[in-house]
Amino acid sequence: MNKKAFNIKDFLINYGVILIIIILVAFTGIKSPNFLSPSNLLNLLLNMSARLVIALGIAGCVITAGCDLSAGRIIGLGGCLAGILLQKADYSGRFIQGGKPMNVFLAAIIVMVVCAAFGAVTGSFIAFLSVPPFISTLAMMEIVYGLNLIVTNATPLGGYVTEYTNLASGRFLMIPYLVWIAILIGAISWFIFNMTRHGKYMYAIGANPQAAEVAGVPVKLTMVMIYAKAAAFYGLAGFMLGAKSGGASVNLGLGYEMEAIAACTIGGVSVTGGRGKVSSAVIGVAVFEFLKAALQFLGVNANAQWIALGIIIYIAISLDIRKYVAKK
Amino acid sequence: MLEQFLHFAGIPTLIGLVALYFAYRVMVLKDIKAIRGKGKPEPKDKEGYCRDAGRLLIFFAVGTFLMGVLESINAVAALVQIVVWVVVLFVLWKKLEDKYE
Repeated sequence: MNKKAFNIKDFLINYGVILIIIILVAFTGIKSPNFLSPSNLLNLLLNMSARLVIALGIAGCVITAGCDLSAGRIIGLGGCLAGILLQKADYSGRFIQGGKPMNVFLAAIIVMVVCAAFGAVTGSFIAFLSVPPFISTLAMMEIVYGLNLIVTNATPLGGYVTEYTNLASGRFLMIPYLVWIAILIGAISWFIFNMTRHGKYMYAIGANPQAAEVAGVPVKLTMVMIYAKAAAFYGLAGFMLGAKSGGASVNLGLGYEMEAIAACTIGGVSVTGGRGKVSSAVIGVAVFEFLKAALQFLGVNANAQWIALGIIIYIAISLDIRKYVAKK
Repeated sequence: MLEQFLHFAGIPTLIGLVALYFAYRVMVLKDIKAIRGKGKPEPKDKEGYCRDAGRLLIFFAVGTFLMGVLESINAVAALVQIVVWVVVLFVLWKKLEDKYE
């Protein structure tokens, strides 16, 4: 068997960023033992849960060499919609006076369906009108933001039913429900990416959309489905964030799309399309969250943390582009 | 004053600036890959495509700035304006793609 020789340069290009962050995490763990304490790790898992769901949605778009800048605003819409449906009946600031709060599961489904509809519209613009993904999603970002402002009147929502907030505080086998939801979405995504025709089409479009079309792949329909699925995931992430914080406003999820794209890239989802796995998103989100926590534990200035995160994103994307150029 | 402006128009302004940046890349640097991505064939007339696509991006940026202003007056009007603006933009974009295909 012809085994490929280990090349340190390739290894560093592929895993350099992750390696640096692992060293940083280990250093932080030694310097501040609380960093690796079970309670902090559980807290990190809780923070990762919603972000993983977002990253799994965005990963589909990135694999097709696209992007979704509307993610943050759709998260906000999902959070606010869930908040409206799940406020206590006797809450003085209830958004819809009278009536009863909805079943939590049903509310989650409604939030996902509504958000998926917005995603389907975005996907249709990209697929049928040939509008570049970044313009299409920027436009949708603005429409959703405007709509959310009108619906909520820019008022923060609160007073949720305990069944909803219990999703963040309640546990099963010592692990919060939100983490279980993220694991479930991860499993569903893995199945879609690896076991379904839709998943194969997704990779084919990302590698070469024209070749995929010639080969009989329904490119347009697949694109619509990818963006709809992604938006459904953002909606669910908004629902999860609302449960975690016990409230929501139009600004919920602001900037999360950039974090998710960065996490995907760090994990190995290629921004040039055609490559990426569910595990890439999981690794990327974990690495990104550990990095943020490590910087906090090391007492790095909050503003300087943004610079550090920006540098990491820049390096990760540069290395990814370099890999693409080298492959060509 | 600035804080109030950013509260209402921060996101539309940011989106407008992003659109203007891409308009600059397309019109001045002639970087069509910035908006077309990989895999798509070059347009028939690259110069013309860059000019028209850049104009559309500026049109979009103007729409977002207008939305920012309208949002501080009437949120419903802002939403209606941006929806109409986006629909017009996308129809024009389709025409652009058909023209230079």
